[in-house]
Amino acid sequence: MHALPLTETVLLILLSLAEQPRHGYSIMQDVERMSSGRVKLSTGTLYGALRRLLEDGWIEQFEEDESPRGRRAYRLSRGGRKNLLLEVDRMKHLTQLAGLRISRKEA
Amino acid sequence: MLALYRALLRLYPAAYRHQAGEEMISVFRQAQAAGRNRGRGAYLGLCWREVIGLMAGAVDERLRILMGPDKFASLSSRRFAMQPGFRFPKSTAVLMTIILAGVVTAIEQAMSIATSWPHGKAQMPPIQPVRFALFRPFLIPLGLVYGVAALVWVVMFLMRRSGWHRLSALDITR
Repeated sequence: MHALPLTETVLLILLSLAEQPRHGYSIMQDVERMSSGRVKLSTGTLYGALRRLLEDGWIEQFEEDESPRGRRAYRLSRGGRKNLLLEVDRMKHLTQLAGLRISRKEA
Repeated sequence: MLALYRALLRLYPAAYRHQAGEEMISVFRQAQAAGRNRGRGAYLGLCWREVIGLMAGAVDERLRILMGPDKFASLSSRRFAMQPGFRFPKSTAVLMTIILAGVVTAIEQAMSIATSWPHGKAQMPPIQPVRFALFRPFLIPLGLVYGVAALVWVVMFLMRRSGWHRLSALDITR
């Protein structure tokens, strides 16, 4: 299991899979879209991250039924979703704290 | 570019290639087609990202095999844990150079064996000892470059530790 907090790249990959199962190229496109073109994954980076997330049980691999060549796709596992929620909660807490501290300084 | 991609993919361990190689090639083909439609600059950016990504990924996978998954996971977790900013691991540059040196040596050995092999004779002659004609001139400048880089890094590190860069911000009238 990965130690929290996650890098932006891994977080974006997990967020991409949180919405729906996706295949490799779809993850690359979605990550680029979510980050407004700032994060562009290479296949080497993507598959390195996917392999580790698979090993740690955060995501699962399956073959798409509707694909003629049995293309592999990835989805978030139950444990992965739980860990992602924990990370998002941690970030929410940090954002709230930052907002409070900054507004206090301005006042 | 696809040929280069396939060649770089061969740097990965065989088991990894067997498991994910074809899928990676398929995804790269899709990305390549989309990149071509976006213009030359975008396509070149894609190619650069892919080359660097594959080389770094291959080094990672090789290290994982050499060190074992547990030890490697503890070291490489920094790739997954948040960092204050991106830092290119210095070890990657060293390892890439070692891999390059290995490839150059292998090519040289192969060339040496090929030239010592008399064509048309059935009996295999003794293989001539390998002459490191290319390797030595390659290694000496490389060592010099690393030596100079290390020296510059030490000087910069000591200067930064001394706090000289903060002197310009010092207001002595106060």
